[in-house]
Amino acid sequence: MDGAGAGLSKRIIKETQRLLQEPVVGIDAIPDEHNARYFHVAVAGPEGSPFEGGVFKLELFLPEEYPMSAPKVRFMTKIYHPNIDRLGRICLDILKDKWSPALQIRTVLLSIQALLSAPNPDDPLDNQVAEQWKVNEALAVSTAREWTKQYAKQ
Amino acid sequence: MDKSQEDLLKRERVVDAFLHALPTTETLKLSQITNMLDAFVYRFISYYPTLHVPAMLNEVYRTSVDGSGADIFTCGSCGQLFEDPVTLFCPDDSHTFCKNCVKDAHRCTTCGSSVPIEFSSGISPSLTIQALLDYVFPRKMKCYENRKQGNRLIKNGDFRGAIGKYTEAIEHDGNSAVLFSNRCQAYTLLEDYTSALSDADRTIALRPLWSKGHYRRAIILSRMDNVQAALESTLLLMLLDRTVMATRDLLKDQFRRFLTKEIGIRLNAEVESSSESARGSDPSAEAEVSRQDLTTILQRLENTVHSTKTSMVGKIIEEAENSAEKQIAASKSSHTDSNELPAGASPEKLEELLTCTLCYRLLYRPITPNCGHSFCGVCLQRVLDFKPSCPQCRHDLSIYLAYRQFGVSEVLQKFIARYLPTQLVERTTVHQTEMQSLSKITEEEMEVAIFVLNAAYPGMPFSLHVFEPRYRLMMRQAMESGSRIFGMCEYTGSRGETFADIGTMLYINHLEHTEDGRCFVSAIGQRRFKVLSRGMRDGYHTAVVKYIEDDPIPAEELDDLERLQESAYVLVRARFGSLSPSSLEAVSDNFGPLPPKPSLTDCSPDGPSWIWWVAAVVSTLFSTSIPLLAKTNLRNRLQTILRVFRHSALAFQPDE
Repeated sequence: MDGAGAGLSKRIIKETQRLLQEPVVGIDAIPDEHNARYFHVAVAGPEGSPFEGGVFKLELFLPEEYPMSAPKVRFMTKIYHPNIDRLGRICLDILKDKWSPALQIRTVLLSIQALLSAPNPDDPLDNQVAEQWKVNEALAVSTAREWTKQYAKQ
Repeated sequence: MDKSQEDLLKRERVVDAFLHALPTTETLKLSQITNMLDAFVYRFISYYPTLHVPAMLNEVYRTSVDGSGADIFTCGSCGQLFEDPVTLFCPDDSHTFCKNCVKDAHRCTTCGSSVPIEFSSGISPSLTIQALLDYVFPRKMKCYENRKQGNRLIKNGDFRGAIGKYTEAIEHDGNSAVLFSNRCQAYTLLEDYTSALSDADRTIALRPLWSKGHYRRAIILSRMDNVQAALESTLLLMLLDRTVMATRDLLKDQFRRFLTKEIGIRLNAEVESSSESARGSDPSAEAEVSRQDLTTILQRLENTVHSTKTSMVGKIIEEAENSAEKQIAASKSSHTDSNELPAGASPEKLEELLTCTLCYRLLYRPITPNCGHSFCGVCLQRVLDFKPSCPQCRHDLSIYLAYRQFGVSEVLQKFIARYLPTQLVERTTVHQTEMQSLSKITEEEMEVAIFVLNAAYPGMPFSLHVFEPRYRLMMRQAMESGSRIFGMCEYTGSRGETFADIGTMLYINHLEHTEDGRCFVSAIGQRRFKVLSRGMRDGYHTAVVKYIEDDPIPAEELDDLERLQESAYVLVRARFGSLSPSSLEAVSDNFGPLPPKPSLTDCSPDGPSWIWWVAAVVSTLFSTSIPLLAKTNLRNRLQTILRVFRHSALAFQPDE
């Protein structure tokens, strides 16, 4: 791929290098060997959260218009979280209308890690989970812990 | 009467001009004299001859900042190193000034272009230029920081604190007239006139032609009751710069004090008795003075004016020349090779400071919106395709869509050109290669951007309303690369590939932007092409294509084909002729009249144009396409037309 896209590819190359050289603590992001726009991501459940001890697999894809359009990110590992639905889709403003081309893969991953630490049931994607989180947080947290044990253990 | 006072002042006859405004009585009350002072001073400032200060001396300060690269970072307004540099909204090269120098300015003083109010209001300093200043001139920037703190302290009434800050700054930079001038003000406010006077003198020594030094000096001397010296300083200030608003009040005050004092002395000398002088704080308010005595006093005033003009101003100009020479010499010595990096600067660090946060490459033709962030021009325009807000701070950027004006930051551009020349050449080459690769047009195969919509036809106009970000980019690239060309293919997404295998090249005749970044494109169909392979670039489709042309017509078929063309043309003409007048008008407005029927011996590779006219009209006005584009056999196309127009009337009920 050449053309004006080359400039943005240079950006992808640099971002990838930095991710590999100075990885985010608790996050692995490895580019696919056949497609430089596709990343295999593993996020460790943050300490103190119901996801602690789990390792969550995600896929991250940089669309053709990146960085003008946000990366597409999806959880591959099942997770009990009010802002993540059964298909692994994530409700996160910076992945949608609050995306800015000055943000990076790194910022996105950090934001996802933060979302695991601080679920936001007031802006839900999965209504059932969000409802549970609001009505009986203790139960929701224990379910999340249960799911982590069941699906996110390596 | 006024006219002649004006005349007298023009001829520097101060005494006569002064007396001219007074009654012709033998004695004059002091109040009569002071009452006319305001008007007199006004005329004095207006008509007393202006001095010729060599223009070159004003220029001197522009180049007098020491250190490499300083000329690039010099404000075109105050001639000093930038302080809070803001970049304006000029159409070609956008110029940069100190924030304070453009306060409330609606025009760029360098190029004269106007600054829209939505740009100038809330303008923030350029972060990139500031970062370069901090890196290249750390000492100067530290001084500036101290000075700003000092200024804040003065505002808060902490004059001693302010003096501390200014002194700290002066220790780093002992040649800054502004620092001494500010400290002088702080001392004046503290009523420490001795220290204030010494700083005023230092200010004047550093920048002899700067009015502020003389202004401060006049104020201090006046406070110290040194009437004669204060008057001389004020006169000097007026002779050097009459635009300073405070000059008039100061001059009036000095004149009054001079006259009061002189008359008072005379009165005291005359009366000798204590009864008059001991009466009050203002013993001479109702005092009278004889005309003759007043004339003597005014003669001394006139002498002071003359001597100030002849000797003091000359001295100041001489000093200015010397100090200017000194400063130029100093700056030249550190400027031996202007392409050399500023002392201690590493190219790697400069590159880092000058990296675009969008493409991660060296800023290329950088643009600085009024929020102060800088981006490559091309990157910023791409951002605008999606959302008119700054990627860094979400500041509103819709002004760029409304004005379509993308002036490059002159300062950044010059700095890069001088200090990162090889990197700039590389970056430019990359950009040019990118632009060229946008449309590689050769006779054989070529790679073009593909707009996926409807079929377009050779020679026929095609109008587009472009609103999708990817197509905005495509149009801009077509214009910027100069080719003005893109491919148009019909959407076929519901059956197989996204777009048809056969398309038509379009040439942009005219492109008009709306205020929100959409655009209206008037294009004209060029040749037909065949898609060899498909690709993507920046979100839109591309294709490697090859022009197609009609099969050659065998000589033995020519007569037969001419007859076939004749009957198809006659049929089409008749059909269109039967359209209602309003439909005919609509057709003609969009596509012109039915083109004439050519001889088949001299046809273009796309065959007779009237066939494409029929195809375009039918597809646009009647929303039915006749499958003609892909047919490279003329006989085939003519037969299709005959079939459609003989057996179907579908295309001819457009007015329902």
